[in-house]
Amino acid sequence: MNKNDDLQRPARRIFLRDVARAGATAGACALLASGAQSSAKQAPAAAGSFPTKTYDWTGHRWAFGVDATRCIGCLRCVEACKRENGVALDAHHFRTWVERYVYLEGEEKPRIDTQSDPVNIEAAGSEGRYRFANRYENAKVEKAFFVPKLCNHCTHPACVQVCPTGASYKTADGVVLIDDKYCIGCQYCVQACPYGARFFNPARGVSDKCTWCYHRITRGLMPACVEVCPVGARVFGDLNDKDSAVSRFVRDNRVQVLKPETGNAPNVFYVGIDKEVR
Amino acid sequence: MEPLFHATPFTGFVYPNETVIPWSVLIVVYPYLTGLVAGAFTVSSLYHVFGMQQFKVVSKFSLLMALCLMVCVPLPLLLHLGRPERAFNAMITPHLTSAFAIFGYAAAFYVLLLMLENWFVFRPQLVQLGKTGWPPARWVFRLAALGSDDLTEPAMRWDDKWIHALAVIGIPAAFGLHGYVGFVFGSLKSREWWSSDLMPPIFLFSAVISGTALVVVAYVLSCKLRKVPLDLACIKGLVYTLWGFLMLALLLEGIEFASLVYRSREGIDTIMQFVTGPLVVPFFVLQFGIGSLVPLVTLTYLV
Repeated sequence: MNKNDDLQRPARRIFLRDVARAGATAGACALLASGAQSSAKQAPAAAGSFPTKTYDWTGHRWAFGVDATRCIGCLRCVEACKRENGVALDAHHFRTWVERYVYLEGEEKPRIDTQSDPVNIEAAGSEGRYRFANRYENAKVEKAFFVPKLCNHCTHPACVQVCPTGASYKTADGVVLIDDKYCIGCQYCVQACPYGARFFNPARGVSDKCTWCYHRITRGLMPACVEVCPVGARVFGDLNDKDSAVSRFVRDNRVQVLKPETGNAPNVFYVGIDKEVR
Repeated sequence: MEPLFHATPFTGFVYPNETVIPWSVLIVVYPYLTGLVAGAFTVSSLYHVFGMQQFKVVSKFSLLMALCLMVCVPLPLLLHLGRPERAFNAMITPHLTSAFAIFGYAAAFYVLLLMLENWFVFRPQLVQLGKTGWPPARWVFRLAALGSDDLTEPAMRWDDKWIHALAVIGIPAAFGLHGYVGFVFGSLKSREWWSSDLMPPIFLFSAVISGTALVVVAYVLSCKLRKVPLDLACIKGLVYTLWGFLMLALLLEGIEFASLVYRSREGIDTIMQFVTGPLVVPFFVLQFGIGSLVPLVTLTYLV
C-alpha cells in the first residue's frame, strides 16, 4: 500500500493537484469538480493519463474469475496476499481466503471451514501459516471442493454507498479502493459488505480490503494471488480486451456470482461452485 | 476489540473476517443516548406544543435533560472511530449516499435548537439569578442572559412564541434524528437480523419509552433531593405515556420478529441459531422479559 500512494488517493484530490499545476483556467473547473467524484473521471481527456502518468484508468475494465473446480486448497494465494499487502498475520484479517466445503455421507449440509478454523491453525502450526488439516481422513466424503474468496469489487458496492466521507470509492477501471489517509474508521462499510470482504485494520485505524493489487495491475502485473496460484484457479484481466484471460473465462464458461440478490453486481465470476456457497 | 473467536470457537460457518465484531458497545450507547434525547424532548413538547398541563412541572426539566444528553451523543461515536482526529472529514466532504454522512449536521442542528429553546425557557431564572445570586455566580448568570433582562408581559409573550415555534420544529427534528438512527441499522441489506423497514419506528417508540422512563426516575429523585412533594398528576400522565408507547413498541417488534420467522427467507437459519443460542438471555430474558413484559404488566396494574 505504501509503495504507491498516488494510486490510493481519492481521485478528486489528485485531480485538484494536477489541475492547479495546469493553471488558472483549469483551476476554475477544479472548484466545480471538487464536489463530484464523477467529474474527476472525465479529467483524463484533458490531463493525459490518469491517475498516474503511465496509467489511464478509463482504458480498462478489470474483472476476476475463479475456477473452483481447479482449486486444491494449497492456500498460497492467502500467504502471497498477506505478504504483498502487509495484512496482519492473524486468523481474523484476510483480504482473500479459501473455504472448504465437505459433504459427508448421510449428512444434509456441508461442513464448511477456512484456514482460520482452530483445527486448521493447529495443523499449520501458527496463525501466520496456512494449511487445511486432514480432518476428514476417516470420514466418508461424498463431495468436497474449495472456494477462493476475495472482494467482489461490485458494480454497485454497498460499502461505497454507506461510506460517510467518500474515502471508499470506485475507480473508473472498476476497482473499489479505500483512501486510508481519509478513512475515519467508522466501520460502517465492514457492516455493509454482504461478503465479509472488508475488515477493520486496528494498526492503522481504518477499513481495509482487497484492492486486486492495484499497485501491481496498474503496472501491467497480475495480482499476487493470481501470480502464485499453481493451478490457474484464479484468473484476472481486462474485460475491454477480448483476448484477455478473464474475457475468455467469462465467455467460455457459464459463470455465476455470489449473492446476486443483494443487487451489488459482483465482478468476481465463479465456475464450479455449489448451491451452498454464498 | 477482542475477536469473538477467542470467546466462542466457531459453531457453524462465518466468514474469517467476521470473527471480529466491528460495532460494539459504543455503537449501542449512541442510539440509546439519542433515544433518551428524543424521549425527553417529547415529554417537554407534550406541554409546550400539545398544552398538556399535567406535564408543566417536568417540561423545563426534561428540556434541559435533552440538551445535556444531546451534547454527549457524538462522544461514543467519536470514541468508536478508528481515526477520531479525522471525524470532521464526514462533515467537510459528506458522502451523501451514506446514512452516517448527515449525522454531524443533524446533531449540530439539534444541539443548537435545544440550546436556543433552553435559553428562552430558562431566561426568567437567569435574569432573576443575575440580580440576586452570589457575586461570582451572578456574573455568570448575567452573562448567560446575554443582556436580555426584559421580563415584562409583552417580552414574555414574545418568548412563549419562540418556545412554541422551536418546540414545534423540534418534534420532527427529534423524531427525524432518531428515526434516521434506526435507518442506519435497518437499511443494511447485509445484516438479516437488522434489515427491516420497521427499524426506524421501533427505534422511535423505544426512544420515547426510554426518555420518558428516565424523566420519571430523574423527576422522582430530584423531588426527594429537594424534599418537594411529588406531583402525582404529572407522574400519572408520564405513566400513561410510557404504557401507550411501550405497547406500540412491543407490537412493532413482535410484528417484525413474527414476519421474519414467517417469511423464513434464506438467512432465517442464521437468525434462529442466533436467537436460540447467544441471544436467549439478552433478547428473550432481558429485553422481552425483564425489559418489556415486566414493566408492561406493572404499568397496566398502575394504570
